[in-house]
Amino acid sequence: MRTLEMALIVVIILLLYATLSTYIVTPKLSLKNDYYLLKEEAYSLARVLADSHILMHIMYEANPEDKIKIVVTAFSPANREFMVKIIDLTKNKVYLVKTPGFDKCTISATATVFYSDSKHNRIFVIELSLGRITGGKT
Amino acid sequence: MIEWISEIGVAILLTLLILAVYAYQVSMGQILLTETYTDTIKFINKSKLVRTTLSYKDLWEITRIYVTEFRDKIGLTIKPAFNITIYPSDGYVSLCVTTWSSQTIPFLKYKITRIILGSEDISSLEYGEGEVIRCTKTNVHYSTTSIYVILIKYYRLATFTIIAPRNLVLNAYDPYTDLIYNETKIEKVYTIIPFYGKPVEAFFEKRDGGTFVEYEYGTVAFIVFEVGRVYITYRFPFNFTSGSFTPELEKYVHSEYYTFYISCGRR
Repeated sequence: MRTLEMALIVVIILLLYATLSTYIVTPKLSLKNDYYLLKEEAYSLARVLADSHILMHIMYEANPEDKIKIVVTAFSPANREFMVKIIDLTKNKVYLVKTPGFDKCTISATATVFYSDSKHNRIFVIELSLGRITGGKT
Repeated sequence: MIEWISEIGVAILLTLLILAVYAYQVSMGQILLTETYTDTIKFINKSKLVRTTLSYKDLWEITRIYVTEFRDKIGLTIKPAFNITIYPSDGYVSLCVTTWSSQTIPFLKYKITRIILGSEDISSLEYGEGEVIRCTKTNVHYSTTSIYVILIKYYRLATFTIIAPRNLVLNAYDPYTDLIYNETKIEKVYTIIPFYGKPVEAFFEKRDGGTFVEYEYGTVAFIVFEVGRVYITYRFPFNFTSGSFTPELEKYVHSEYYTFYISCGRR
């Protein structure tokens, strides 16, 4: 009888281990893919901001944060939350824009791109984070 | 004796159970690892879609890899950076431009060229330009038999689309050899560069079984006048769609002067 009891205990422990590891490993592996794709999207969006020379115009207007928010909202894919930090290295000033839901994101990826404005002799660092709110077991 | 037999039996059962649990674990692990390397990820890696600056050949290569290996597994879209549509309005063209998430960007600049083809040459042209906030009425007339070349600019971000009757579009251009494969003698070739607002006549010569056209950087299409027929052939795959799918990656890529929107994901 003692052997049977031991056997049952071992089986229960193993099954518990198997179930728990499945629950823990699955979301992690799923997030690995999501992160990779979000990183790609964030980098391409940051490049759009830099290559289009939009910053050369909007960073010298009043309330540049509002314009940045309009542009990034328009170009970012649907169902993505974002946070954009533009650092003016010349004036050591930071402009931060984010969507209200960004803090609730369970996964996000950040891309960093440099942009130098030769016309106004300024250098900007664009840090663009894209995130998603995921939930449940994937 | 009975105790011994029961002990041995239980030990065997225990071993079998442990083996079964391990087998289950190993199989689950393999399933999960296979899921990580999904078809979308495979396609992105194989087509080198991780880059943001591509040549026109790279864009064609993406479509080739997709059609040959992934068409049944995932969906792919290559479009201009903006969603550009036209519709008739009192005989004129009304132009609508939004982003692909249906958002409006204020003060986009547009150029629109209407090309009317004759049997031997371009018979007439119409041109218009201005600013657009979502939709605007242009000064170009609407016709279903004309070719429309539309350029949209947001500061230095430029994108284009060509709207042409289906019977005028022909896949005669091979991006890998840079040649147009014509059936009869080519009499005249025009290159389309959306910035110019009108087609530009180009020099061409016979080469390696096709026709090589001397084109400028930024050329998006060729209008070819052959003996007995006329057609337009595209240099960029700017309007590639593959039916409905769930987008997993939506990104922007640059090629020559233009920005394109690429989306792919599982079906």
